[in-house]
This record gives sequence, C-alpha cells and structure tokens, in this order.
Amino acid sequence: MTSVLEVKNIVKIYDDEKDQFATKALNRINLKIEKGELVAIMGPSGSGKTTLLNLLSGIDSPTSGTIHIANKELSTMNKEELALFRRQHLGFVFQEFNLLDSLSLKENVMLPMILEKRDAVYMETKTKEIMSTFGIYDIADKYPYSISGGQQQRAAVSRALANDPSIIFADEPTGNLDSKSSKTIMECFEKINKEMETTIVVVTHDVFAASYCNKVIFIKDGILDSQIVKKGNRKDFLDQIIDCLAVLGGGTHDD
Amino acid sequence: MTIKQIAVKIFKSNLKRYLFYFLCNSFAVMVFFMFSTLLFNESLHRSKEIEEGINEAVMIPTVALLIFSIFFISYAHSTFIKGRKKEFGLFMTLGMSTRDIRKIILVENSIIASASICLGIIAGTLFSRFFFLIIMSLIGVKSVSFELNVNSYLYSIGLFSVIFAIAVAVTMVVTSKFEIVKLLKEERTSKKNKRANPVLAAIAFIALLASLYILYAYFGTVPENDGQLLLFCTISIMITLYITISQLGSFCLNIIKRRPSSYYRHLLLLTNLDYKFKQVKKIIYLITVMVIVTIFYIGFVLYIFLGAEKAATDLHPYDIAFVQTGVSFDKLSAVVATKENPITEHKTLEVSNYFDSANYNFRTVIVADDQLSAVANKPIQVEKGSYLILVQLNLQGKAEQNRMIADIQQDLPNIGIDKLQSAMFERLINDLKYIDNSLIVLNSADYQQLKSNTSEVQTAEIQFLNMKDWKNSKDAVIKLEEKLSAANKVTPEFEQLIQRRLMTEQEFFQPGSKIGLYDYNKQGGGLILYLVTFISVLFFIATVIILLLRLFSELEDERKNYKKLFKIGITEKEIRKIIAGELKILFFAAPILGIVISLVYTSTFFKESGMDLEIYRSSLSISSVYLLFQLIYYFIVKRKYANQIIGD
Ligand SMILES: Nc1ncnc2c1ncn2[C@@H]1O[C@H](COP(=O)(O)OP(=O)(O)OP(=O)(O)O)[C@@H](O)[C@H]1O
Ligand SMILES: [Mg+2]
Repeated sequence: MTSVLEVKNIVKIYDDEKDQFATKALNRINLKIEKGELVAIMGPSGSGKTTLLNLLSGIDSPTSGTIHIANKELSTMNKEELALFRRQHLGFVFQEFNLLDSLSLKENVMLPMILEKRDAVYMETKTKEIMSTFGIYDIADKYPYSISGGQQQRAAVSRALANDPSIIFADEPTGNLDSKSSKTIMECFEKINKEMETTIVVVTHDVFAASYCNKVIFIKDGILDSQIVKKGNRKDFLDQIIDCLAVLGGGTHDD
Repeated sequence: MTIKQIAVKIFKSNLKRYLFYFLCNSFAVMVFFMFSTLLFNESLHRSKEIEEGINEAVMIPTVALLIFSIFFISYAHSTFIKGRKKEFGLFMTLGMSTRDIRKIILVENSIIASASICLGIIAGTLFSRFFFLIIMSLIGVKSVSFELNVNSYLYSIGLFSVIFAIAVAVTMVVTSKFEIVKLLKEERTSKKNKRANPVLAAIAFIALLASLYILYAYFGTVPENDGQLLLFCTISIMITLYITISQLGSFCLNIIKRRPSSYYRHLLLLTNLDYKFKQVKKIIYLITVMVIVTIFYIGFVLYIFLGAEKAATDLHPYDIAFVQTGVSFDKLSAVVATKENPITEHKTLEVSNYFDSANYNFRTVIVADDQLSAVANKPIQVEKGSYLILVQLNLQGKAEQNRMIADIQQDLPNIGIDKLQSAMFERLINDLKYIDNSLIVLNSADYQQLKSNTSEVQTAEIQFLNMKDWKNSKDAVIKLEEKLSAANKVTPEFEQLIQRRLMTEQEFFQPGSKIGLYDYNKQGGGLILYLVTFISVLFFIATVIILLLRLFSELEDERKNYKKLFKIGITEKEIRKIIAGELKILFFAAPILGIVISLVYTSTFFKESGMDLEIYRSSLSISSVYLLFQLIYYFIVKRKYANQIIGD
C-alpha cells in the first residue's frame, strides 16, 4: 500500500497579535494515511482537529513540518498552485455544508468541474451519475435554502466527488444532522470508499459516525494520543471507540 | 426591558449602519438647502444684470434635485431597513409583536430624520454662502448679494419631513407582511429575481425601441402636438425602460442557459448577477435615468454656452441694429462710438409699417429691394408689380416653407400688388423685436409709390452699425437703449401692437446686438451650466454612494461565499475576474444605456436645426468625461472591493 498522505512533525502556532498570546494548536504531529483508508479523527473540542484538517488541505499552512499528499509537498506550492491542487486532487465536506445559495444543487455539484473548465456534456453526465448515487438527482434544480440539511450535505458530498479526488476531507459532516441523516451520509462515505477506493478523512465527535471508519485517530491538546483499527464488526468497534474516548477524557462534548 | 431600552441597545450595536443612513440623508438635505438659497434669493430675481428667463432655468434643476432626493432617500431608507430585517425576525421569534417593531422603526427613523434635517440645514447654511460666491464669480455677476431666506428653511424642513414620513409610512405598511421565517431567511432568498417572462421582456424591449423611434421620427412634424408627443414618449420610455431592465437580465440568462457550454463557463458570474438582480435592477434604473437627464441637459447647455458667439453672429449680421424714431442719428451715434471702439460701418434701411385697417390693424413690414440689397450686401431684385417674401428663419422642410408662405399671403394687405415673385428663407438683417421675422420686399418704384399714396403707412429707419470690436460694445448698447427708450415716439397703432405682443415699449424698441445675445447666452448658459454641472457632480457622488452602499452591504455575504469557494479551490485570479465582471455590469450598464437614450433625445431636439454637429460634440464630450470618471472609480473600487473580499 502506498501512503496518499504523509505528515511529518507539523506544528501550528496561532499568534494573537493583540495579546501576544500564542496558541499551540498542533504540536509535532506525525501521520500516515494509506490509499483507500476511511479514517476518523476524534478528540475533545479545541484539540486541534479542524486545524489539522485545514493544514492537510492547504487552506492554512503549518508553522513547521511537512505535508505530502499524493507525493506532492504542500509547502512548495504557492497560493495559486495550492488552489488548483485542491480542486484537482482534494474533496471537501463541511459541517455547515458550504453550498452557494446562488446556485442550484446541480450547479453546486458541478462547480469544481466548472472551475476546471470541463466539457458541458461530461459535466452533465458526471453530475447525474453522482447525484443519482446519493438519491438527490430528482431535486437537482432546487436551491440550497429550500431543501433539508441531510439533502444539502449529500449535495456537498457529491460536490466533493466531482473531480475524482484522491482524498476527501470532511470536518464534522454530520454535526448539523439528525441520526438518520448522519447514517445516510456515513453510508455514502462507506460506499465511495468501497466502490471507488477513495481515501477519506473524517473529523467527528459522533462515535456512531466514527464507527463506520476503518481506523480512528485520537488527538488531544494538539498531540496525537492514540489510534485504533477496526477488526471486527461495527458494533464492537463502536464500543471500542467509546472506551477510548473515556480514557481520553473530555469526550464527545456535544452528545 | 422596555422598548426604549431595547431601541437604545440596538442603536449602539448597529452604529455604522445608522451613521451611513444618517449621513446620506444629511447630504441630501444639505444639497437641497444650498440650492434653495439660490432659488429664494430675491436680489438675484431683482437684479438687472441677470438676464430674464434665467431664474426659470434654476427651477428645472431644482425639480430634478427634488425628485432625485426622493429616490435617494427612499433608497437609503429601504437599504437601511433591509439590513435589519434579520434582526426583526429574531425579535419576533423572541416574542415581539409587529407593533413593537413598528415602534422601533418609528422611533429610530424620527430621530435620524430630525437629526439629519438639522445637520443638513446647518451644513447647508455654512456651505451655501461659499457655493453662492463660487457660482456668481463664475458667471461674472457682481451686483447680487448672498441672502438667507426663511423660505429655504421652511421648504427644506417641510419637504424632507414629508419625504421621510412617506418612506417610513411605506415601511409601516410593509411590516404588516412580516413573517418570521421569511425575515430570518431574508438574506438568502429575497435577492432572487423572479423568473423573467420572455414575452414581457420582448414586448417591453420592442416598446422601448418603438417609443424612442417615434419620438425621434415624429417630433417636430406637427409642432402643435410636440409637447404631448414628448410627454407621452418620455413616460412610455421610462416605464418600458424599467421593465426592460428588470426583465432583460434574466431573459438573457435564460437564453444563455440554452447553450450550456458558455453558461457553465461563466456560471459564477451569471448566477451571481441573477441572484442579486432584484436589488441591482433598481439601482441600474435609477442611475440610467440620472445619466439620461444629466447628459442631455449638460450637453444642451454646454452647446448653448459654447455656441454663444456663433448664435450671436448668426442672428445678428450687424453688430448693432436699432429702430430710430424721434431722435437724430448723430445724437445716437455719438453715444455709441468711442475712441477705442469707433463705428466702422453704417447702413440704413427704411421700413414701412402698413397697418391694415380691414384686418384689425394687422401690421405688415415692407421694404424696398435696393435698400435691402445694400444692407444685406447681396443683389435682391423684385420685378415691378410683384413682391418677394423674406422669412428670416432657417426653415428646412418644403412643406413647412409652403405653409409659412401661405400664412403670409393670407394676411397680405390689399396694396395692389399681388404677384408673388419668390420667397427667401434666410437671415439678412439683425433680429429685432420691432420687425417680424417676415418682411415683404417690393421694387423700389412700387415701394415709393405705396409710401406716398397711402396714409396707412408709417415709416421708420433702422440703423445698422458695425463696430471695431463688438465684444466691447456692451456699454454702448446699454447707453443706446436708454436713449432710445427715452426718445421713441409711439403712435396709437404701435401702442396697440405692443400691447398685443405683451411687451413693454422698451422691449419693443430694444436694439438687436451681437453683444446682447452673446451675454445672454453666456450668462444664462453659464449659470445653468454651473448649476447643472453642480447637480451632475451630486448625481455622480450619489451614484458613488449608492454603489458603495450596495457593494459594502453585501460584503459579509461575499466574503462567506469566497471562503466557500476558496476551500473548494478557486484561485485568487479567478475570483478577481468574477468580481470584475460583476462590477463592470454594475458600473457601466446604466451609464451606457443612459448615454444612448440621451443621445436619442438630443438628436430629436436638434434634427430640425440642420444636424448641427456641435451639439453631438458637446453631448459626447460630456459622456466621455462621465465615463472616464466612472472608469477611474471602477478601478479604485474593484481593487478595494476584491481585496476586502479576499482579505490580506
Ligand atoms: N484562527 C485561529 N486563531 C487563533 N487561534 C485559533 C484559530 N483557530 C483555532 N484556534 C485555536 O486552536 C485550537 C484548536 O482549534 P481547532 O479549531 O482546531 O479545534 P477543534 O478540535 O476543531 O475543536 P472543535 O471540536 O470545537 O471544532 C483552539 O485552542 C483554538 O482556540
Ligand atoms: Mg472544529
């Protein structure tokens, strides 16, 4: 197995200009994620999960350390190249969906392809294919503010898939959803992961959501705490995660 | 917590928004006040130095300003309210009733309205003296002093109270339709334009073109109906323009959508425009109308101003001409000539005024061909027994000329000569109130006979002078005018004529001079030009404010959108391009549309006067200056705005 993502010794320090008070959000993190893995990152609030994800996706840059994705080192790229890299190789799903209100669902899903200036016919077929997979093609022409949260998130997942990314990052994708919708979303991820062998990294507080993954990484106070790998069925894995969280402390603050 | 306490709390948290609204209002009040000081300045009305008719000219810009203020304030008001709808929604979920919300709106707006009227008037009082001095020195008027009239205060307070009251009243009515869900979603949904109706769009667009064409093609064909035609077409243009603007955007979008490849390529730009169009269309319309009015008006005034000399020489072949009765020419010429500016040429034309007793003493002015020929410096010969009609107007159409000839023939008195030799349409002698635009020219033998035969003829001499330097003849003309009005003898027939024309005797005998007309046009054109320029600058500032208001009220949303796109992987270059595209439409759609329509108006009014290219030059130069300013403004805003959205 080749590793799609390799993180070495990253440190992230937020400088606060006002109080001259620096927050060390991440402290010497090392991480390796192999192709085709479905990984959950868990940890108490403020432990640096979102920060980690932002660094991995090039939205923000680390204070020190290196990040390799698909054999490319992010720090060697400038802002422009990073943007291009993101839309060509990465997919994103966010807690607050991040769909554009001015675009219909279909157009939202197409957006990464449009930025890539793909051919119109190709975009249409691709969009139809993805959206049908997630059962939202029949509402393709609706606008984000007139559909449910679960549907919006499925559209966001569809959008993340548009450019056949090598890796998908999701930051609390189920945070705004009820358990039924959460289940649908996680099943989507499972399906993508199985069928297309797409690597997926999910940050979540939700143990139930995490149990869908093959591996759970726990971080605390900006440091990698531990990780567990799924061996048996999902139910056992769920219990295992709950135990780990209990040890970790802080736990799942919003449940 | 009482409503009052809440209102104060909100006030504090929304300070920026309030401040902007407040300043917009104060600005409008101040400008109007400054203008009204000019309007109500009594010494300006009484001044001899200011030519007549110029006071009326101040009226037009004032009305334009007032209409503009109404739009401007209601726009600022609705933006202000719109920005707060989400807040109102929140209040309502917390249990506030519509009545409470109304109370808040009423209290806030009363405070802001009275404060901005106060500030506006105070600032206006301070600045108006300055404004006045500038304008008067620009048009070279010294005798008029600055006055602050109570009327300025009363009108400013009264009018703006009414405007504010109406704006608030409209909002009050709207509040009854407030629904919590909609208010909370306001930001996300309301901007969406309703689907365009392609049929309506097409009809409106065709109707707009038709109105413009009808105005252009038929204006002037039936002079009596011109007023109605102008009114009708203008109303129809204003309405169809609005529908066109509001429909055409989404109409075009629908067409583009049929070609997915180009639609998708510009998806973000197009959908962004469409998404915001509901608000943008009003702005585009408002700016378009302002551009039409200013470009047309300034172009026109600039033309008069720049053409003052040409108009003076065109209308007055000789530097000075006057009717001499009751006083000898030597006495008059002594008044006119000076050492520095002597008379270089002098010619005399005798005119016979024939009062037709059979036709209510209708007067006909008759001259002899040889004398006219000498004055006009061109051979004019009339056969014995025939007459020639001279019309000193530049009538273009054959039909019009024939109608004129027929009119003159109908009133021709019975002088025993009724064979029309020909008609001339040309300016040969100065424009004088004393004679009409049309003259009858006879063979000199016939003329002498007519003069001696009939007692109904009263003769007078018109003197034509050329000076060394006509631009220096103002004093001479003023003195001459005084002398003439003191000396002229008026017969009962003339008295009747003067009365019929609603003139004073002095006006009737006024000399027709190049310098008089020149000064009139320069001064009148100048005053209007400066006023209109002033207003246009205000319009420009106002559009700047409106556009800024619009852009920066959206800034937060734009930032959020950009963040979303940034995460997906849009590059900075791409986002700048989209912003530029959006701003281009917002900044230039209205000016270009407005300029085109104003040019149609200009052509309409000037097609009769023989396609004078000067007027187009004036209009186009004004348009270019405007576009240039807009371009500079665009570049500045584009940078700033994009930087604001993208952030560092
Ligand atoms: N832009 C920022 N500037 C300064 N400090 C920041 C910034 N973003 C995050 N932090 C700080 O870094 C630490 C990690 O934040 P981060 O958002 O990564 O936590 P998280 O694990 O995602 O928490 P949550 O589960 O609540 O989303 C926190 O202490 C936070 O206050
Ligand atoms: Mg987070």
